[in-house]
Amino acid sequence: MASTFDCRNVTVTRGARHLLADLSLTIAPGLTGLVGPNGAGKTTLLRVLAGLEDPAAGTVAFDGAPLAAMSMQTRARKLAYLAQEAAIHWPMPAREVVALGRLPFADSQSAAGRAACEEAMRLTGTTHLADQIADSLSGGERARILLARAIAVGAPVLLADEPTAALDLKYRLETFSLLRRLADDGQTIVAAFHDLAFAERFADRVIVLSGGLLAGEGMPDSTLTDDLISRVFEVSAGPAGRFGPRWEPA
Amino acid sequence: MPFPSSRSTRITLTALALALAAALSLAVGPAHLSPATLFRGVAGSDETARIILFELRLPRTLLALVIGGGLGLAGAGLQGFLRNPLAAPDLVGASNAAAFGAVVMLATGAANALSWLLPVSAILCSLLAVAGVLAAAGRDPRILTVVLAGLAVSALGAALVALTLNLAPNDFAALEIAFWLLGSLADRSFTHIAIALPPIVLGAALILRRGAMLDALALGEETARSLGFNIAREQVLLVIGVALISGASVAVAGVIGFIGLVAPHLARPFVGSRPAAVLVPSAVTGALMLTCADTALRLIPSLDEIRLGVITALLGAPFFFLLVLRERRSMRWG
Repeated sequence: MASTFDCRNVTVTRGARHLLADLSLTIAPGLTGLVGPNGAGKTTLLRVLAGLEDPAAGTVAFDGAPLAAMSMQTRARKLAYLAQEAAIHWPMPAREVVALGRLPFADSQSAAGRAACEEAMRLTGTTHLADQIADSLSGGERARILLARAIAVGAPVLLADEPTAALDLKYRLETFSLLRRLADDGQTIVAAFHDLAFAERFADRVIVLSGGLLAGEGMPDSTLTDDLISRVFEVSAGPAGRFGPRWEPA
Repeated sequence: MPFPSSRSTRITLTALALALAAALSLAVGPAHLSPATLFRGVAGSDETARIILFELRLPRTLLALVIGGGLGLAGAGLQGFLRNPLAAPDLVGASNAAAFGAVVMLATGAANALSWLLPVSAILCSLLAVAGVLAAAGRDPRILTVVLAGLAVSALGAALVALTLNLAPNDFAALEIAFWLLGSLADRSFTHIAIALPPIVLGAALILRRGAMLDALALGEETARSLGFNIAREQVLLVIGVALISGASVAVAGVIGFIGLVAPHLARPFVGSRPAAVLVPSAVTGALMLTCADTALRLIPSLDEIRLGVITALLGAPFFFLLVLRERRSMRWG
């Protein structure tokens, strides 16, 4: 079953500051890219969708029912959340880190749980790291292990906060291809990231946030216009070099 | 890495080690009983040996196992929750606070009137201390914040204990309190077990049930919440568990430091670092440590028996220092 979110007039405040202001949007199945400058509210929106942040005003519905009314366990089983924080606080083997994804089901020792973990490690190309201690991994390897942990939940929804920030080009490409594939298999994926070229290439839809407001949403092509980019990111695309447009201050 | 590999072998070896430590603890004491006499005591054919074994030594051995196990578990629970290898009930001030709670009841004579007041007061003060440190550490339990907050709470507990000693009604009461603070299992009876066991068992159950939450916290609070754990509620239950154990321990045995800090570190090389996997082995290690320490001090020739809390502090403090050095190198400070 494909899952959808419906946010109506969502406002999140921190003191006098509005992190999200009166935000209304719908998130459909597929891969949704969440873009916007630093401090635009991407992480806050992901936290709201994950049920980790209660809006000061407005409502969030998940598959037609209020998110706030869902039990914590149901939420944990349906919404996998990959935090931006990439810390693994104890020197645990990668296999045990990935198995934490099965905590909502308490089945990491069962055949089903183990299979989900192995599949998640296969998808993220981390099977060979299974017995390595997290401390000894590179930043990129750790990021992929944590992505595997989130995939291991096997939830219909994956909310990922900058899953590719620590990755080099090869793994960035592989990760986006993987998210694309999961979306094609029917998952609803919302991922925040900064790379507009990847957004254009892999996302079904983009949501553009700026200062806690919705600056644009829709198909990447028609949404990420020169005008919007110069308004929101305060840069403009100069003549294309070999690796894409040369960004200049707007 | 785990040694030995098979789970059943490990459990068997652990049980053997505990049984051996307990047997040694029963065999050693001021009255030198030969193995033959001990056997007759067990068999019931020697009344004196039976009394020494079952009424003098058995409570002491059982208390060492229960308190050592409790403190080891509490240490593992706190370290897991705070994601901090330098956390322990005594280091977050729980022991000193519990000592204050107990000392007040001793000094005012309230404990003589109502014996249950002493453990209850110790547990409540311990609860305040742990809750205070966790509140100070807040959402970001960095090693330094926790250690400093613990230092502050611990210092306050020590100051209040000193004040109580200062104002003690007479020198004899002050001396009694001072000796009791050094931590000891000497001359304990089944009454003490009856006082300590229920809170420690309850506290242990509260901590053991938090294992999955502690595992989830290895990836930070946000991830743990997304995995379905109500961290605020879990924290309250864990703090109550730690306070029940440290409060009850201090109430019957005085201040015994460093078991909670050291036991998880000795257990991890055998079972790995996953917080839930460390809980029971830390309890076993703590029980072994305290039983062995309490046996060893009875073998040290001295005019007066050296106090248990003194031994654990003498051995534990250098260990703490080594841990600080190791943590400094691993750059997880600040």
